[in-house]
Amino acid sequence: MRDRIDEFGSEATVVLVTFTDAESLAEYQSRHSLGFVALRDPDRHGYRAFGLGRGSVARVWGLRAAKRYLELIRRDGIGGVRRPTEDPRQLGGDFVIDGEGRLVWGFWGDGPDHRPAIGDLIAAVRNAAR
Amino acid sequence: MIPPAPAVGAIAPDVTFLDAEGRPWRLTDQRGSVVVLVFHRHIH
Repeated sequence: MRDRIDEFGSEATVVLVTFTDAESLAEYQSRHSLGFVALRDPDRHGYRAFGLGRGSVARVWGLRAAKRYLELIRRDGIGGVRRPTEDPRQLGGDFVIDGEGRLVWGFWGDGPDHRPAIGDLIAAVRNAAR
Repeated sequence: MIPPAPAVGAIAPDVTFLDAEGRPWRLTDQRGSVVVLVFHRHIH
């Protein structure tokens, strides 16, 4: 998503949330020229509030994960596979909130690397900004 | 125990996050703007 952040234009504030420590977040921000806000949720209250739990061991390390890693290697080479640095079982998600504070679009990942199609996310932002 | 996911169309949960310096960032303070929240398990 970092590569396509410009496509959100000025229509939305994009916020990346992780539960990393403050030092790692500061280091990440200094390493990249971010076009979005990067924040921490160390106790994962926000994850829980949006219904994001932890995936099962089978889901994280099972056949599906192996298939996903093979896709990453095919696409990006061995560098496409990154070692898990935190909780590999934490599930992610993407949410669009409109100007009235309403959740207008949501994607709940069913595996740690399960992400929405970026085009779907951009379309949801454009709809919310209308 | 994970509470039920909020329904699409409902008011989003009132969540507060921290920036790298420990300053709070509250979702409800962003009213008037569209916000995209991207929850990840790591940064890289």
